[in-house]
Amino acid sequence: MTHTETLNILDELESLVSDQLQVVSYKWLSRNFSISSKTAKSLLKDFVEKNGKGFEVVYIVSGWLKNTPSDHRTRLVSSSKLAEVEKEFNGTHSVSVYSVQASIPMEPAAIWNSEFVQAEELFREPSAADNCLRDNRFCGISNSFVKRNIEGAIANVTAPGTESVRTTVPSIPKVKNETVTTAPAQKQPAKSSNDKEKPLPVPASKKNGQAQKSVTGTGGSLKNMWGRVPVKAEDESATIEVKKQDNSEAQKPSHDVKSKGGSDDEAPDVSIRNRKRKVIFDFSDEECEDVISLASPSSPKTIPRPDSEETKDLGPEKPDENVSGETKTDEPEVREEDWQKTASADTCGVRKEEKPMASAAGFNPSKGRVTNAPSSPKRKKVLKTRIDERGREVTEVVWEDTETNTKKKEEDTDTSKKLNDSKSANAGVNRAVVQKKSPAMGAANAGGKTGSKKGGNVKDPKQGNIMSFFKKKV
Amino acid sequence: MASMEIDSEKTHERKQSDYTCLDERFEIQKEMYRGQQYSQIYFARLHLMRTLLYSLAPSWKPHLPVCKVLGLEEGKECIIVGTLFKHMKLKPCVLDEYSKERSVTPLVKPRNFMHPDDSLILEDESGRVKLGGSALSPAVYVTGVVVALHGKETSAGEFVVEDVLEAGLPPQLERPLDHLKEDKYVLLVSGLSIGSSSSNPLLFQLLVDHITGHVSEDEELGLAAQIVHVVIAGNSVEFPRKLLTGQNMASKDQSTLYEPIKELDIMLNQIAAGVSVDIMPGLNDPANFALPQQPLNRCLFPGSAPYNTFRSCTNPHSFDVDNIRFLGTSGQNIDDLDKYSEAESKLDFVERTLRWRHLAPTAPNTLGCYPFTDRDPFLIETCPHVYFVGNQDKYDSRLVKGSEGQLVRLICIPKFCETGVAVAVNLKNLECHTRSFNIQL
Repeated sequence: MTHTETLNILDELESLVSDQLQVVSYKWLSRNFSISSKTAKSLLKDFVEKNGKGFEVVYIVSGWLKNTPSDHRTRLVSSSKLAEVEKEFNGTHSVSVYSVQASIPMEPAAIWNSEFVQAEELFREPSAADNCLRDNRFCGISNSFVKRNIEGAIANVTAPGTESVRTTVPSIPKVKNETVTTAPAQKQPAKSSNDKEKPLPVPASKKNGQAQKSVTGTGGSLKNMWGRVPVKAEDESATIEVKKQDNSEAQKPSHDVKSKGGSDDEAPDVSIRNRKRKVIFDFSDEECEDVISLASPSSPKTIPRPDSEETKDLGPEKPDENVSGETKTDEPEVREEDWQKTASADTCGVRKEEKPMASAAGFNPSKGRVTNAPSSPKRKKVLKTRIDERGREVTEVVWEDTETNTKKKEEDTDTSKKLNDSKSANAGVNRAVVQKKSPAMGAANAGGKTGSKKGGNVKDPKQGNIMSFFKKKV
Repeated sequence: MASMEIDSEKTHERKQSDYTCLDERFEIQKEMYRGQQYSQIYFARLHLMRTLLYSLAPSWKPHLPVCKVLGLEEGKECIIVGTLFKHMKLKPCVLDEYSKERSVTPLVKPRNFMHPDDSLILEDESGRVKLGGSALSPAVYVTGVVVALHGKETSAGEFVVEDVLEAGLPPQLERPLDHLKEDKYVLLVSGLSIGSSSSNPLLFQLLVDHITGHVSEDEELGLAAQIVHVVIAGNSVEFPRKLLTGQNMASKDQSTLYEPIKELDIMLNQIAAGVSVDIMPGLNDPANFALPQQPLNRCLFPGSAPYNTFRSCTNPHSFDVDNIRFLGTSGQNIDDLDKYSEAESKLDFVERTLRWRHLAPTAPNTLGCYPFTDRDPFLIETCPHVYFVGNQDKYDSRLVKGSEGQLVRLICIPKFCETGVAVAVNLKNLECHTRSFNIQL
């Protein structure tokens, strides 16, 4: 350290201690000015020698005790008690300045406060950042065997072919106002958030995690620690927004993505981080679906298992039947586009695109499928999309009595989810396998979400919907 | 770059050592609870210990036959092997809460439930027999210990004991002598109680600074660099229990609840960045209640979990450092022994558990325990070199020598929040000393 730097720091010290009445410990000094502990201590010593009487000094005395040789003691003492404490040691002890402050606080722990506040700030930094708290850079002992794995906490769900994804990662922040082309990019990061080389989503998601945990008074911290459910609700709505965007409904969904879930960075990241969980959740739900599907035999079995072309044709038909004012007509084209994309893309691509759709499908099968249908003896769960009072697109799973072909979209998305390694070309074949699970999945996923308008599950259109009570309040 | 300058200031390099974690026997992930009761764990314990005692009996009293409890004949001298059961008058029983007459409950719960009228009973799978005689003192033994007894049955149906055979110290792996030329220390600390009103965070910060080497004197730096491993043996946090009322918590209460863990995580982060650290759950920690306590969830430590040096371990915890076997608990086993038996010092309890070859003989009788079906994980099969117990009142340590040349260092780790004392064990010669911290302003 140059002489001028030292003098500068000493001047700053003086103002800190006397004007701002802060307790300056050597650790605080070293972190603040990026100097080693040793230097910080000697600086404090210089400061005390120079300014001496104006301040209170706390010394740290450490060494072996005289009377009990098997006890190594470290003691914090104020200058007044220094002499008598030193007598207890056996002579080879060391004395150095621990902290300088305007006056000794009543509560000894107060000396620790400013240092801890500093530590907390360093702690809150995004986990990818390496700071002096995390690597102990100012201490006197080096340890080359310590490794910090940033990625460690997240389980890896997708494995192969993530290379294609990496290049699209940086596009996450730009996704908001873009159309279909970026949608896959947005979806891909969701899947590939496990990828170790991705700095962007990971730190953001980790930051999210940390922000969640370190935020005070939001109540989200414990919830996020223990309960997936509330986060999922938020997350699933985020994925729905993503999906919508995928289908090129540009304005509203992008708006929704922005407005939903806190910060911009957080929304996709929450979804990224939690998508894994959600996917897992969906998988486990599939087991339940078998149970549920048994109960509603009519719908699953009757869903045809033709090849892909037919379903594609049927797909476009569906929106035509509907009265909804949504941009349904876009859907078929987009759908077909998706199919083509999936047909041609590699498995990874399939997985990525399908998965959010699938997971969204699980929760809320792709939006804009079917609107209100006339009641008939056969009842199925379908999705109903409408715009609510706040201008948001609300999708609910509703018991509808509709034809079976409305179910097609669900099945398609489920296909890839179930069969990780199959190409989409086989989607048609697989669809049959998957079909019976889809309505049940819709049911299972729709049921459990709290506080989400999209979770409304109406058994019978004629009966009152309990969720309608909450909607009216808004 | 500034960082380069700073690196050169690191004058010492931390010593390294091999570490192996042996907690697998204490994990219960693979166990399935099918509604079983505790008889199976007692049976497993009896079975294993009996095989062992049968093999020891011939060398102890070769001329005596070994028989089962139901095979006892009046007047015949023999050896019987079984589990001890101590009948205690003052032992709290859940049925007391339902008794018709609610007598005035004592204001102060007795810390120790012993009574001069306590009696011992021996039980094996065939039957039980009351024990008499003065060779077996009920004050020393507790329910759950498996022993071999030499004596004979009286006409009153009591078995008068003449001699007792305990399993004794288990065999120990050879400690590689002199393989360590230098001093390497394992630091043991427990009872941090972060978040409690009596704990001073500055004290723990001093410990952390010492371990990580923020001191400036070379000698002390050298001392700190010799620490190769740190073990935190339980009771690291203390939650503000008044917030846990069973009602929904306000969000600001939730963050208050979380504060101690966050503080612990920041401190652990500082330690983990420099040295390998194990954290064990204790009675007050957010882990399950029944032994063996499972590791604290890594999600509680988002800052420290990414480090390869950070390890969340079970209670009891067993590990090897440089081929020195460590075994320890957070103190529940010894505290329970303290309630149901007596000894001059806590180390006596510790030594007894070693001689009985069982970490927690009172489990599941008075100590919460998982109902294992096919094994008893608390049986000590290999003698450790260091056997530590956390959260005790004061520091104590003893070197125990076994009949076959085993050498064990027994350590009682005091509560850090009260005493400011951590214990350092030298791997070279099993010597230990304390490192204490205090504040006198």
